[in-house]
Amino acid sequence: MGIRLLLLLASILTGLGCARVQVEPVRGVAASGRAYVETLKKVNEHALDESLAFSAHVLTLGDRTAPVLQATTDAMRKRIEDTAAAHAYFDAIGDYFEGLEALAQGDPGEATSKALEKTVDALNKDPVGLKLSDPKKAALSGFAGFVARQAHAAAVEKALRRDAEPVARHLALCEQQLDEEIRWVEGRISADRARTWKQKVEDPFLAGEKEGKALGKAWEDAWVEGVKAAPLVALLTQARKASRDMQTSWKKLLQGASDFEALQASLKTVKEGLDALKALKDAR
Amino acid sequence: MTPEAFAAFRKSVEDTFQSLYTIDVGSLSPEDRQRHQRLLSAAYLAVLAFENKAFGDLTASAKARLPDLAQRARALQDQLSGLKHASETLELVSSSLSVLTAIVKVLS
Repeated sequence: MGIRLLLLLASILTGLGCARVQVEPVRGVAASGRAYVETLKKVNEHALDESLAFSAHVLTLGDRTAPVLQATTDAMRKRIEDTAAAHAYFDAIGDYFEGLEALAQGDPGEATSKALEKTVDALNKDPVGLKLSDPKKAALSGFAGFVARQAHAAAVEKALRRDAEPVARHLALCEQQLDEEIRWVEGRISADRARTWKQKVEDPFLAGEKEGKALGKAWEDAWVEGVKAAPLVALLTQARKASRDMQTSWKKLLQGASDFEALQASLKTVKEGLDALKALKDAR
Repeated sequence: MTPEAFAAFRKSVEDTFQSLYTIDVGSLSPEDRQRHQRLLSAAYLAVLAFENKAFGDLTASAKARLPDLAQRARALQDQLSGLKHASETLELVSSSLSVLTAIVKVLS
């Protein structure tokens, strides 16, 4: 009887021990998911603001006809709608990660499982204008195979097997959207910088040589600014890296490892940098 | 047309826009200034059309029309890249204005 009791106790303790270890890989996933979503939204907002401000400027330089005004306004209104749709799409992954962590933290009830299933439905909805290429789809199709056996609590493992691919697909589409928005910003910053360089650095420099004119402090400042990298572009490069790291972290999570804390720190840096730039811009 | 060819096509249109955008309008004659305004708007609307249309959303008829436009846009960009004077840039882009307007129509 005593031995049986001891064996039973040992088995319960081992089980509890396993359960505690099983929670580990998922710990921090909800906070990382939120930080990820917030960063994506910040980039989204910057991309929209840059597009709007730049379009307004081009309207002042371009052909002042009704069709040009109409076409530019329509294109930007569409962008505002698409940006709002992208915000909702980004939120879905934050909701999913929160549900997953709740499931892992000892809430394997029917309600939690159902709520998690619902968030997966939202992940499966295609966002506006985003589609993965066939090779990318093929690369993601075997994601369920990465789920390690017995590295997670049973309910979590079951959810991960079901959701591995939709989540990977969603993260890949978020990255695609992020890349597109970064391209909007980079293209406009590049055009502005090329224009400033030509008009404030190159032209006066070459004209000054011919005419023997002094260049002055304004020219020196323009040259320094032109040589340095644009701060927003540097931050967007970090955001792009964080988005790729997010996909790697998801794969590691499936395999039973976790590096979400490091990712969370890097996302926080990007978000704070974007906030600081926005504050600086608003103050001007 | 492949996604890569579509991306290269888009880049050549963005570069054409940038060539126009960097021109110092203060240095232009009144006629060239008007021409610049027309071309700048056409090129920017083409850039916006690319931004608002993903390759995956193109119709079959759009895909069929794009290779010819892509070739012409690439040829324009190749010629533009060596030019130094604003008047030459304007002359060259004027000759391809129909390409820019066709891009907007096909991608809309």
